[in-house]
Amino acid sequence: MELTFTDEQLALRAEVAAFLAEERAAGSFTPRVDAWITGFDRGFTKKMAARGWVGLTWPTRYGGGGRTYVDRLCMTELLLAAGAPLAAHWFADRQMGPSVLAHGTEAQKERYLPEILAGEATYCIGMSEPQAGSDLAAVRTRAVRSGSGWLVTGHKVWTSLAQHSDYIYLLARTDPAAERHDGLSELIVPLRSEGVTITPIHDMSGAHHFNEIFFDDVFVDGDALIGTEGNGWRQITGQLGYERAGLERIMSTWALFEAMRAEVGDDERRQEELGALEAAARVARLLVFRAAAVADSGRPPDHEAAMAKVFATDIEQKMVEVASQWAGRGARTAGAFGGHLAPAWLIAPSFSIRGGTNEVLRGIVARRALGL
Amino acid sequence: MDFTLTDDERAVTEAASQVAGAADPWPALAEGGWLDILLEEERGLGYLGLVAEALGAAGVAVPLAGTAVVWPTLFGGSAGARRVGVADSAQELHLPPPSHRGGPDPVDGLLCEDGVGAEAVVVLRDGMAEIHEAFTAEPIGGLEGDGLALLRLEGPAVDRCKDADLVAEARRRAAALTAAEMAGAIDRIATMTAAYVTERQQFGRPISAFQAVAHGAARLATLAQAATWSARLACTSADPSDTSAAKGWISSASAEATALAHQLHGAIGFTEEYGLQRLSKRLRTLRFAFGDDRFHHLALGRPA
Ligand SMILES: Cc1cc2nc3c(=O)[nH]c(=O)nc-3n(C[C@H](O)[C@H](O)[C@H](O)COP(=O)(O)OP(=O)(O)OC[C@H]3O[C@@H](n4cnc5c(N)ncnc54)[C@H](O)[C@@H]3O)c2cc1C
Repeated sequence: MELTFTDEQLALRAEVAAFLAEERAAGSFTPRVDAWITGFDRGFTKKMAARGWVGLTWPTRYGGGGRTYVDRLCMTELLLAAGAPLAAHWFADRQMGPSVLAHGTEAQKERYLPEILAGEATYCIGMSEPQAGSDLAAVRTRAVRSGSGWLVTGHKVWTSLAQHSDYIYLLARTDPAAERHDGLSELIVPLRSEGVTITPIHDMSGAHHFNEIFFDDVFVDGDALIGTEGNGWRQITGQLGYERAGLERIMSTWALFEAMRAEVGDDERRQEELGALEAAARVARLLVFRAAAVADSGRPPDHEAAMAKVFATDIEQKMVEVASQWAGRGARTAGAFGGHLAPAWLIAPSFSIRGGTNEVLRGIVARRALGL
Repeated sequence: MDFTLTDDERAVTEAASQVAGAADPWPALAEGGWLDILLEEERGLGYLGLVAEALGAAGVAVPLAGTAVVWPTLFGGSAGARRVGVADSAQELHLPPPSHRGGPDPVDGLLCEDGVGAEAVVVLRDGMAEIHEAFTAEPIGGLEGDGLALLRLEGPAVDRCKDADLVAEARRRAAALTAAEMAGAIDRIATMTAAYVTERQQFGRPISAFQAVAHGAARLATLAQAATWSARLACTSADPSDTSAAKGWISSASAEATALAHQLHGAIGFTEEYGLQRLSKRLRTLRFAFGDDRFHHLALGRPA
């Protein structure tokens, strides 16, 4: 056991910190809450890609950094703390790339990975449908063989960033006759294909963050299917582990937390509340690092990721509540806590819903960690 | 004790839900005589509380506290149908120094409830109150629909009330009324949630079939009942501690209720289109109006 950073990891962090300091000084971004998912900036992503920080964990023979998942957290921790705009590569780096690496053919790896590594391809997550939220295996979107490829028809919803994305990583039903977990497959669909319609959904802050997507006989070539036909459910479980196991689940509100720290003042009760939040955040961080260590051991984190996400998002939501209590009526002003409180409050309900609800994740911990 | 509504109270509730459903409830409130009910009825605040519940349930924001409660309590007459904002300097007192608060410095101005669009404002100070008609009110709310404004006075007061007891009573009534509006909103989100979890199917059954969901809905229903009755007590009792209990508890419970309702709705509740977010925003506004949880808990817990 060695629960501290290696010299190599410290060196990576120093590089990342220096990069962030330069970018901040150059005014290339303004720190804000939830920037990993709402801060869309291809230019920033390209700068990271040029440094080898997109695909850091991917094997070097495919152009990746060949580093560990723990290394990746060493890096993302600083990026998230800075509120840097990461959305242009985040999903692909976190989950689609690893999925293609785990399940794709050599040809698919050569086709899809270089664009991601160059910071040139943005992916969105095509899982949820109106009737398939927590019950993801209920997806109805169909992919039917047609000549050398597939025809996709169906309806996805809550798709974050589809309006900016090049590809959607789709969970679709390829065999309606099979048992519902067995008839699913994963496909990569270019969003600029004919027959794709993207309509915005506005969230409670009024922002256009997620979308509804309709597929009407969309043709994709045979190479679009990733992994084994009918094995989509098992494949996606791995992807969801990566989706849930990151530090973004505790650091979405970091800009707010920093503002709270700056404004804590002499009041001992506040200092204690801040300390309690910090203690819990540090514990959450360890759970996340542990999930990354599981990934480094060769399998996607599963119940470890579920546990970390529920634990961490609960603390993020508490941060927003404690900040609101401190500010009292000032919590209602646009300027509260450096302007971070109002946006944090507006997204807080989603922390324990997106990426799997708390109820569903607790079920995973109970079943898969405890065998209940 | 009798928890059944009288015929009069039921009539008020019915009329109020129609008013709250009107395209513009303000003229409807004026025409229905609700803005002057405090001057005309001994149980005026009790009735107004029921009106506030209906407005809260509809998620409608109107300056009822200023026009129908604070003004008539202090000045004994009607404000007409003028929209009256209320700036209370005392409510800043429990806050830490402004530099630590993230909000504007009250030295530069006063935070004014329903200040956006106000035609007159009442400024509550230590033991006295003033009416102002010359002022600017700059909207500073971080959430849409929040009428909070930074008030800058631009002339002398046009009227004053120097009766400290009346000022205290105006504050108490405004808090009680706000508690009632919050109770209405909490009751509505509890009802919405109970209906939604029965309708929404996942895993081949209504999500209410999952115990975690059913327990959440049950907790929400409990919060709604507790909010309703504590607000009704506050609006019909003269004891300020009843008001502090109600406004303090409901303010604190509103955060739990909102979080639960969102959780049980999943992504749909997070959209602009779905009605839940309007009620959550309104609850957040009201939580921090006329004394938040900490303010009223301190009022109750402080040694006499
Ligand atoms: C901001 C945001 C971004 C998102 N981005 C994406 C995206 O990019 N791509 C994508 O595919 N999806 C995305 N989602 C969708 C997300 O994955 C779903 O919202 C989530 O899986 C829950 O599904 P649902 O909203 O349909 O809620 P439901 O499944 O209807 O759940 C409603 C309530 O019932 C509970 N419940 C359901 N089943 C059970 C059970 N068996 N036991 C106990 N409780 C249960 C839930 O926990 C919840 O409290 C996003 C969601 C949000 C809020």
